[in-house]
Amino acid sequence: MDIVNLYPLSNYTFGTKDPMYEKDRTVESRFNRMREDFEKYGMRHSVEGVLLVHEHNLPHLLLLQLGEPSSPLYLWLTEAPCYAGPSPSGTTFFKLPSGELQMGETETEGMLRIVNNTLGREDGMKTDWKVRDVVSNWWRPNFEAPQYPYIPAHCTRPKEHKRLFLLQLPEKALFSVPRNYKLVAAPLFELYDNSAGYGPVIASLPQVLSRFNFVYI
Amino acid sequence: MMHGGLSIFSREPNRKNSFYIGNMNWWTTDLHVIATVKDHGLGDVVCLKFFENRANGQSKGYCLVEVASESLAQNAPDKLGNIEIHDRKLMIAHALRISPHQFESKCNQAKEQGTTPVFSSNSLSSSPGQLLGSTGSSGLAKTSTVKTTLPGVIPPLPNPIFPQPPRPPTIPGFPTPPFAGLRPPGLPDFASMGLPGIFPPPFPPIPNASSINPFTSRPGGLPTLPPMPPAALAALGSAGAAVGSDVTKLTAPHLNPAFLQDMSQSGANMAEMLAHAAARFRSQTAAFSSMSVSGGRASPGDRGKSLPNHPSDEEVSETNQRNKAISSSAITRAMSDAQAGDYESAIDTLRMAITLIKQSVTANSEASQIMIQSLQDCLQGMEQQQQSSNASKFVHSIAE
Repeated sequence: MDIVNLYPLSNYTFGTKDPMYEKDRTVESRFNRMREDFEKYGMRHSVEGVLLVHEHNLPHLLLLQLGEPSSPLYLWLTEAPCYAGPSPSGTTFFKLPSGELQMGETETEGMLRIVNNTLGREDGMKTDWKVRDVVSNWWRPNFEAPQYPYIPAHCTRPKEHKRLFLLQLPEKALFSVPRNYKLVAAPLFELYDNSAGYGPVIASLPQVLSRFNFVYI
Repeated sequence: MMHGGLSIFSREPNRKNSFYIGNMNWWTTDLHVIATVKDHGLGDVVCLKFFENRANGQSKGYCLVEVASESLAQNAPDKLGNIEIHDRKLMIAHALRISPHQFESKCNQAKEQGTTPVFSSNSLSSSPGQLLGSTGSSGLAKTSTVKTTLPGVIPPLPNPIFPQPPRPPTIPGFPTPPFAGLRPPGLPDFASMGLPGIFPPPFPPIPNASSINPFTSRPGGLPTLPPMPPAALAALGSAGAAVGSDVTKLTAPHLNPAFLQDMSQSGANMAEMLAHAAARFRSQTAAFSSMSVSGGRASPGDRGKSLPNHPSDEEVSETNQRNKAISSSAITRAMSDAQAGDYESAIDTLRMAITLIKQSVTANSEASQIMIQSLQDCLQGMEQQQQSSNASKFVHSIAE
């Protein structure tokens, strides 16, 4: 009974707002902060939002495209030797709206806070998004880029746990996109089997979303 | 229960107070290691780092353990040298005496040379009872490690639905085939021919005139293989892991073309090499199966050749060209890796190239021998460089 309503991309309007920079400016600082946080608080819990629209009766995933190839997130991810993502030679980089959960915050609260910070409108009106199911989990066994959809058998203390949530969008909405990002809608076939282009997390979304019954309104 | 807290994982172990533990199963966890170290009088683990396959996160079966002092670390080989965790005898080495790469080769060697006995509980024919119930000489140590000190942890039993990861039974003196994880389409034929599931080696042993099927007798009856240093094969295994392929991943029953695709981004020749080697391997095993079925065409006189099929002239020249390509691209790649300071990858690259050339149909030709020699020279130089750079790394960390 997992029915999900999808609306056409044209139902949504896009505006801009101030740039939103990552907490960590360099690759090294990202690692260091993760290590420090791990010692104090244990495993990091991150959430990412899967926002879907449709075009021509095919679901499209909303992705944030990083404008500056020299951003720390981009570098951090491309540093891993096994990085199966976009090559650093000038092409850009995609991510989902994501962030870390704060102490005492539930996943739903955190997800809504993060997606409002990233794409929410600034004119006082609230976007009515609903957090629906978890679509996948990824774990990071070390303070390094590789993440896997399982905890490797020898690892009892993953350093980060990332959960992807399907968000139900309202029928119409205004998204304010930070100036340093572009918002794109990628059809599922573009992601399918394309770890090289989008990384393993995003490229596996067509499979994990296949269980839903999408209604193209 | 917090074992020294989460700080154990938050930094790199200081090599002075550290030692390697190796030859573990992929599912032996950090908690098992911590408990074992504590139980054998080495105190608390200060810092712990596991070595894994980057492609899939699977443990390589060895880790670097830092304890409270250098003297404890130096005692580790004595205290833990004869211990088994989950039926696997541990290999211990002090961190200053050996590099991670060398240790990995040693561990792979140990697996091949049968530190686990043939058809032991780790082989395909394992039964659940063996893991727990075995009362070998180290049974006491093992059970205390596994049972009493981790009361909440049940030693992993081979799941009847998914038994021990399929792996070719290790046979003493018989190097594990480099593509241990590969199952060429011909494998079911072997099973039906009555072979006990032994994975065909890259150099199929020439059957004796007396026995058509070389595997009818127990492993001891196998004719001698052409010399292939286990280290080269082991290095191939680790090289394979280093380039991100799942060639040595014993759980993977097939060579995933997606990995070859990834490799093509990082070095086209690697993918080419492996693809060629995989294709060659398949054709060899196909040749082998047809040979066995036809009653063993090859006679003992063929011993000089390492392969049952007689390569044609075109194959010879094609192979020579390929070998040339392999060796030159390997050297180039290794050089650039070494320049970047990545000696491990460079060494892996060279070792793999050497192995591939040795495996080829023209391995005995002079041209190939020369190529192998130059690769080996390069390799030696690389290893020396690595040792001196490791030393300087160590100095740096003390200074901090």
